[in-house]
Amino acid sequence: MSYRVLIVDDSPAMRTFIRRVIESSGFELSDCFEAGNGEEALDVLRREWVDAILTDINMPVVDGEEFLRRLAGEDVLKTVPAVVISTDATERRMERMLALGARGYVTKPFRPEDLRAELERTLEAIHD
Amino acid sequence: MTDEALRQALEDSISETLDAMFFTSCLGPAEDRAVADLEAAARVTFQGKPSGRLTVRMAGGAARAIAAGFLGEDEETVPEERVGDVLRELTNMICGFVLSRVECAEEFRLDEPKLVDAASCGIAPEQASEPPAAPGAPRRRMVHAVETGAGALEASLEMEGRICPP
Repeated sequence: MSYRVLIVDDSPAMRTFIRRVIESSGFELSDCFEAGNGEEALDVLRREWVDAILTDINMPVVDGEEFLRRLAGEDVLKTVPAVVISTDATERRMERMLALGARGYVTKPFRPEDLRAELERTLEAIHD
Repeated sequence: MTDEALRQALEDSISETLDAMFFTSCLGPAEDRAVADLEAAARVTFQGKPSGRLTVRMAGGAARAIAAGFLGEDEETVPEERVGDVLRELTNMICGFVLSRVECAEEFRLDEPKLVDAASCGIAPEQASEPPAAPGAPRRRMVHAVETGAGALEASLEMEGRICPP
């Protein structure tokens, strides 16, 4: 099975790294979209359907928290599972992102197998 | 928090970050002469309790090596712009990791990491272009430098205010 994934991060290097991790861990990607902030991500999502979103929190224009809030306000888009990838490992932040609808949370630095496991869990959950 | 605990938190943050995401091992503390002429640097400021900034300086060869490994590109051909982008991301990650151990605040916020002049942000931060801490604010600084095999990496953490846990 192949997947369509959207990576949202203001660092081009981080987007490249995440994409490499996904591709090298056995996930077959039919399409991998990228966005530099939440606003760009919403633009992509209004044009393209994806199976999962991987998003940073600290970003310019529309940050990850506002992005999840806006996603939750859109009837169709709110069904797309989002996993947060962030340097912020504080419990309060994690709880708030999960309350906003995130299906998973991976803290940076992470090992490739950690991201793979979280993405696998998220994608399996939507196909169960 | 004791100086030793703070030093350990910074050391662990460097080694865990390099190992997990940059596939680079720390070979031990860097010698003084290895950090005397580091060429690349990035800095991130943060707001929380305490607030402060973290600066990472690297040897040019080490910066290129970790950038190439992170991006899956050839060390000889990776563009300088991409090297800088990776250095900013490395600084961001080391800072987030160490703050999760020393912050009193339930949340902290990292600003966007910026590339800075490596020569002006080394041993004497008060000589750098940014203003010093507010008068009277307790200030702590911890520096740790490691050898990566491709050159040295030095991280300098400066904080104003009380550090948790005490």
